[in-house]
Amino acid sequence: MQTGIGITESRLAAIKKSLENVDAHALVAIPDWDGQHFASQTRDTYEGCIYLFSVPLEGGTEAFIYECVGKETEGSQ
Amino acid sequence: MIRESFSGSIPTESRKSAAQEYLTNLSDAQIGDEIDRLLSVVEPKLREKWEAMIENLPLQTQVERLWELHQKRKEALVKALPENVAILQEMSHEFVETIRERVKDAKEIGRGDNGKVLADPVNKHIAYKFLLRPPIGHQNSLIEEASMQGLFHEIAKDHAELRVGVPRLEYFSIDPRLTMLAMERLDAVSVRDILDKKAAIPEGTDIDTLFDSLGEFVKELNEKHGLFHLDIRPGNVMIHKSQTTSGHPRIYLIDMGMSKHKREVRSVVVKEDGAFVQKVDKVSDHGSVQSVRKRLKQFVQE
Repeated sequence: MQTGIGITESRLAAIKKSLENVDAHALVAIPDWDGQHFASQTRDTYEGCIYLFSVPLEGGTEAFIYECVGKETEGSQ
Repeated sequence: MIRESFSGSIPTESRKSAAQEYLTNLSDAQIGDEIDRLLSVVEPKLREKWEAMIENLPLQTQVERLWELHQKRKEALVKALPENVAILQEMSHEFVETIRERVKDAKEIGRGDNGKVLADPVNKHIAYKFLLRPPIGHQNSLIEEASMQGLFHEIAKDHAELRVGVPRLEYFSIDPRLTMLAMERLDAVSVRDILDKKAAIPEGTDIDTLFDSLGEFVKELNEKHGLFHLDIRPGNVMIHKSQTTSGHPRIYLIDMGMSKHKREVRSVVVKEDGAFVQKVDKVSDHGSVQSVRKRLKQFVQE
C-alpha cells in the first residue's frame, strides 16, 4: 500500500520558485496557489499559520509548507 | 526534541552522518520515541515485518535501519507513480489531525459514485475529495486521479482563451489514515443541480458559447494529448456562478476519477444511452459534451 503526501510536478516547481533568492527564514507565498499557502526553508512557528507538510528540494534540503488563512500577501495570485 | 529536529522526514544520504551523530546525543527514551514514530507511519502489515527485522538490534541501530527502510520504500513508491506526480514525504500526525478536525463538521458540496467533496470551513479556497470506497473496475486510484487532474489543469491553463477550467490540484494524501485530494474550491453550480432544479442557471449563461469551448477543450485533450475524461455527464460539468470579465474560466470539467491515457483506453467500457458499450477505437469525449449541452438546452427551453 502506498502512503504519503503528494503533489504534481508543476506544484513542486512553484514551491521551488517561491524560495529562490530569499532568506532561509522567509515565509513566501507560493505562486499560482490561493494566496494562503506559503513556503519556507525553515520549520518554525509563524503567527497565524499552520504547518502542513514538507517537500524535498535539491541537495537534501526541504521546503516547509504552511497555510496562513487571511494573511496579507503580495504577488501570490 | 527529536520530532522537531527531523519534523517527520527521513534523513537523506547527505545528512546521514549528522543524523547518526545526533542520535548518539539522545537518551534511550528519546530514541524509543523515534522508533515508535517511524513504525507508526506505515501500514500494520509492514510495521509487523519491520518490527521483526529490528527487534534484536541495539536501539540506535534500530533507528538507522528504520531510516534506511523508509528511504528504500519511498524510492520504490516514486518509481511506481504516474509521471507528473511526486510522493514527497510521509505524513505527520499533526497534519492528519489538522485535516481530520477541519472536515469533521465540513459541509458536503458534492457527491459522486465513488467520492464526496467537502468544503474546508476555514479556507474558502479549498475543497477535499474523499473516496467512499476503494476504486472498482476502471475507476482510478486516488493517485491516478490526482495525476490526471494535474495534467488536465495544466492543459486548461495552456488554453486559457477557451475559458474552460479544471480545479487546481493542491495536494493529495494516500496515507491510510487520511486518503483525500485537496483541490481548488469552485464558486460554481453543476448542470446536474440545474436540471434537478436545485440551483438556478447563472445569469448571463450562453449555453452554446460555453459548450463550444468545452467541445474545443476535449478535442484538444483527446486528439493532441491523448487524454480522455470518459465520464462527462451533467454532474461533472459546472458553470461559474458569476459573470467574469477577466478571462477566468466560465465552465469547468471536474472529476477525473475515470480519466485515462489513450494507451489505457482500448478496453474501457462506458455507459451510453443506458447500455454498456465497449470503446475500442475512435474513443472521444465529444458525444458526451454534446449530450450534456442538449439536455441543458432542452431544460432551459421548457
